[in-house]
Amino acid sequence: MAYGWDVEAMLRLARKLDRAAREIQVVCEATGTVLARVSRYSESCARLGRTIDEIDRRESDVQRRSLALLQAGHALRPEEPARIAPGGIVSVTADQWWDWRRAEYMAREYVLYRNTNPDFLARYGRDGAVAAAALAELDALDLLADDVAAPASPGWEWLRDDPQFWNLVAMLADDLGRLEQDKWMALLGGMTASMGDTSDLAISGLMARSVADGWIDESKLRIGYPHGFDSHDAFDEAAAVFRTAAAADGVRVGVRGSAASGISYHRGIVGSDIGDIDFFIVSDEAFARGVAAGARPSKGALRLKATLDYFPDLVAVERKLRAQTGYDVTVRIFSVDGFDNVRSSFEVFGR
Amino acid sequence: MSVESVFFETDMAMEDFMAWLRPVLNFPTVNRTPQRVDQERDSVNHGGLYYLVEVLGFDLKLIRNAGETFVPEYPSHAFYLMISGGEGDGNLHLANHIRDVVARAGVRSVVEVD
Repeated sequence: MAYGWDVEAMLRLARKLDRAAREIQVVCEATGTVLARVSRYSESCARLGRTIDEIDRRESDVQRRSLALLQAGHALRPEEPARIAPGGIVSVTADQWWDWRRAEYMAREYVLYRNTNPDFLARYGRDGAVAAAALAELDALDLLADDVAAPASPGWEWLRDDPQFWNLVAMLADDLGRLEQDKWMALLGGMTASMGDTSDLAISGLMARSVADGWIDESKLRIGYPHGFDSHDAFDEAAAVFRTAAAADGVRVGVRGSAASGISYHRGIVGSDIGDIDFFIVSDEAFARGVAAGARPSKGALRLKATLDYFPDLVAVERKLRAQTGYDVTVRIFSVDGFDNVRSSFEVFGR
Repeated sequence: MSVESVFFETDMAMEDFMAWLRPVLNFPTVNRTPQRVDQERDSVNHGGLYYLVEVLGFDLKLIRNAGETFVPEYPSHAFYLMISGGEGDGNLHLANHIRDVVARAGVRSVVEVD
């Protein structure tokens, strides 16, 4: 996949998807009751996966996540997975059906008590919140979005950092689309922060569908160009100037963090009020030049102090872009390995 | 005009330390440059929450000494103030001055040695 989110490409692919793709129904064998419909998103994700030459790994991953969603309903019975038959009918046993009911109960508990009992998540573990998400309780998703934006309980931190939880949320594309845009943005932010590199495809696909289906205003997602720039060309031009100023071969330039995602985190609050524009430069050559000049590197990155001390051309570009964009602009230089080490902890735009 | 940093030894939270530092160093409460008016800022390049103070032509940035912005040579110092914008040895003189002023107010600090 292209470096960072190639959202436009994902958007084009998403539009090609067969909108009538079959749904996966979850049916209780004992009663014949249709318990749930798994989102077409998993199908979309599988198709998108085929485009990046990782067919085997991606498909097994999608399959695994599909089952994880089902198993969330019977979280204590992973050794007894639901079966997906041809035609997309998922068979579950009576026990599993009861576990779905239990999960539904816990989901309602979560909705009812999460505001009044700050220890809810800590006491109930992840089951209640995961079940709430898995069962697509809109109210629960609403609350989860609030929790991501302003963590309210002691248990929230580990839930927030649990990729499996976010995988489940990612599966709920149909229901996420019913959320208010700000709530959806908060959940998307949580997913981005937690899932990182390994789920670029999932997040990009979800974003693409969000725009294609009109759930999110395209401009709010900064599709095609990051915050602070009014066009893709304007961003490319700025990146090119940084690339030239870095005076090295094979330089990768982009923005990271809030400017890339369009989502800011400030004192635990999620919003779209972006602060600084954080550029990065990935170049072993520029990194080595800084070290040779006297900079002390840390974990494969040069400090901002090093940019100011040893790269006057980059500082000049920072000043120019500050005047041009109206936001404070800084650039940090990474070695290739240094950037790879921190890459999963923030969103990136650029190549 | 090398950039200088003053490392502070404190167990205060960042917001509390800034609230303590502001009157000690007589910082203004807002900056004059339009895009930098708010002193409390957020930036991945700066390690998340940080404070920017524009004063007397200097840029002073209070940065958390942790995570990506951790400086391993000063592991026991919670924050550092990065000083830039001064002419000649201005940044170094200001760094030494700040170290002395905060010491008189009760917080130990050290100016980074390159």
